[in-house]
Amino acid sequence: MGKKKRQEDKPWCWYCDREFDDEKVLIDHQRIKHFKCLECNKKLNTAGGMVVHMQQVHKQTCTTVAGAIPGRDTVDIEIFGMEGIPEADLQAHIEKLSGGGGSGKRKKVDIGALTPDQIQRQMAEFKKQQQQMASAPPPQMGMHGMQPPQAPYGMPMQYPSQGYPPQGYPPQPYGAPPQYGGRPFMPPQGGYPLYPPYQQGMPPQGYPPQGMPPQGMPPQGMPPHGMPPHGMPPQGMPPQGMPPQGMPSGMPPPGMPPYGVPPPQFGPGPGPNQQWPPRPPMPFLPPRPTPPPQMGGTPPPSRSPSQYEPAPFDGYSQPAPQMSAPMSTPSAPESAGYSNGAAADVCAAAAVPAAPAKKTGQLVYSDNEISVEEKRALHPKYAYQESASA
Amino acid sequence: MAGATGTAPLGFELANSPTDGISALAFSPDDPELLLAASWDKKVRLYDVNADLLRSEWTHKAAVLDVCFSTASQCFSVGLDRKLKSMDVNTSAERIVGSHEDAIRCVVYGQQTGQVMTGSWDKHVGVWDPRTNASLGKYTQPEKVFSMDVVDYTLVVAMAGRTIHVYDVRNMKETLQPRESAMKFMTRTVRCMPNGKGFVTGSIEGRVAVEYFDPAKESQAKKYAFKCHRQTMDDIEQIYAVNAVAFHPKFGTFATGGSDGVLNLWDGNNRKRLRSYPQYPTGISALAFNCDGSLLAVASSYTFDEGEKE
Repeated sequence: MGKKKRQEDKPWCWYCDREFDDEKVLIDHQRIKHFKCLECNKKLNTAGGMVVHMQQVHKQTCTTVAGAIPGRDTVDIEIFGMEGIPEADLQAHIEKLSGGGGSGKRKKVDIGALTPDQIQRQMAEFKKQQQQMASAPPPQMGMHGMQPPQAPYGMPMQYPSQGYPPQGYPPQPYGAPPQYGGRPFMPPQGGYPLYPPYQQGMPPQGYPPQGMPPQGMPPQGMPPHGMPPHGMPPQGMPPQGMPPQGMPSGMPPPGMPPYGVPPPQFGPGPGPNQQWPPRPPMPFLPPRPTPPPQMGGTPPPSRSPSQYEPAPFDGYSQPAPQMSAPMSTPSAPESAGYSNGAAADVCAAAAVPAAPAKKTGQLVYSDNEISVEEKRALHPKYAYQESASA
Repeated sequence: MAGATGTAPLGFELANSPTDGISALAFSPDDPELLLAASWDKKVRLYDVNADLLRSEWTHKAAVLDVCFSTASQCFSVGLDRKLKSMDVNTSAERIVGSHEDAIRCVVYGQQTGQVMTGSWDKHVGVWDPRTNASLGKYTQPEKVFSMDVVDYTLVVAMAGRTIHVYDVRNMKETLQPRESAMKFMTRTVRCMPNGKGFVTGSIEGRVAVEYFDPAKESQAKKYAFKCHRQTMDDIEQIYAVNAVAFHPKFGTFATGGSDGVLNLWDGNNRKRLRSYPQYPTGISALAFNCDGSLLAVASSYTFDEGEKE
């Protein structure tokens, strides 16, 4: 990123993948960019410090780190300078450096790739959703609550059609295009009080793409991992649920964490998964356990598959601004009203172009040829008559 | 550390301040308490800063654009009247040393050669001997001169069209280094580093450039420019002119003042801002450190960036 050639031993910021010449600068950067209290701008040393500060001083819950790239905005990892960076990410970073280092750049481009058009579209979708939601009773299922922000990551959405494709998992942590199962999987009603955290990803399938609220639906279509209530392995089928056809008989796929545990081996690095749990509840309290009821209010039941298309996109591009959207910009009333992740996403998307827009500067004095003094000298008040000279 | 004319949020304000915009400030070379202020109200005022006293006052025929000291007892002024005037600090006597074809924008005194140099909108730099009132030559410049400064034997002339010429004052016939400003917009002011290694320019586009005289590659690689004196209002960045630069005589740090009324202190070597002072009620038009570096004079007056006001 810098002008100089990359050096492998340069300190870099885990949150935004930026390199620095020395660790002091990195720490300053983290304090200013990532660990600044959204309320009072106090700069803390670590994400944890920021969370505690916001909790205690402002009674607010902070679940994301500002300015982080998608997947790195978790507050769960305590990072200070270069300390605390997950080993896997360290390795990945080194590899990237040695291997041409293109990937980081590409990611960046993706982030910036959200055109105003797309944003407009997302905004429109979001509004549409809201209208639909206003007319349809919000699903009150616990499940819904957790899900929305995950949708963009797309991974979980693959299950329905393929049963458990463990293979499908790791390679595409983000951005796998959501594939809707042929059939809608309805989450059972009544809700499971506690869903395993990593289930959050599922809801998309859980919802009928047509936007039907789950209440009336028989649970037959339950998504496989939705089933184990309270973190039970799939074998213990919940009584009401039937496994989808393609489901391997309840075996956790190799490499899959037991349900209810955030799967560390997900994806290439800890990045994507770690960020998951904390993300969804973003505007709310602690990451996983019980989804706040309101959260269920807005999720994507109303989204049709086609509407989902851009989802992976915003999933990419928003996380960073997103965290600030709900918390630091109360001016976005929509995000205040609807706490769901999708809402925040869209609002954040709107905020994205706003930042660059600031760049348009305006010179207070813009005449590049004639100095202010020359202009001022022309004013009659300052007129000088040669004849009057002594 | 701040003496000030104009209403200042910091330091103290001098009594009997000029009645129109202040165009230039200069401290005496060896009396840390003597401050000259040139103003658009056609006057040059001499203050005793610690006593907060107006020591003398000279009235000119037109607005005064610049002042400088030569020795502690003699000073020079230039302005729209196209004359270079010498003023005696002790007797208040004044006399005309020379003149240009157009208004004279700036005047500096070369300590090493004992010469006074003037830069004019008539595209000439004049060199004068203050003891004999003799003109030692006029040197044609490609553009109107906007600002000059001299350190040791090096004279830097900042002109319109982003042109900057560096001269050796012992040989004004040759331009030592014809340069182009490192910035894309008009140069507002130029000041040399006290150590004689380089100079700093400020532009109308809220930017300051630090450059070095040494033409060697390593030195040139160190030059840089940075943005400052900007404010974001309603998502539009307001970019103010950097009107004044002043170097601290001992530390080599420098202060910049902009039309936004903000005074910043910078460490040019470490590329850090040391301090930003609370905003002055109007733009900062001139700055000067005194000889021992214990005081900074700040002229806060509207610089006509947005035309006539009031």
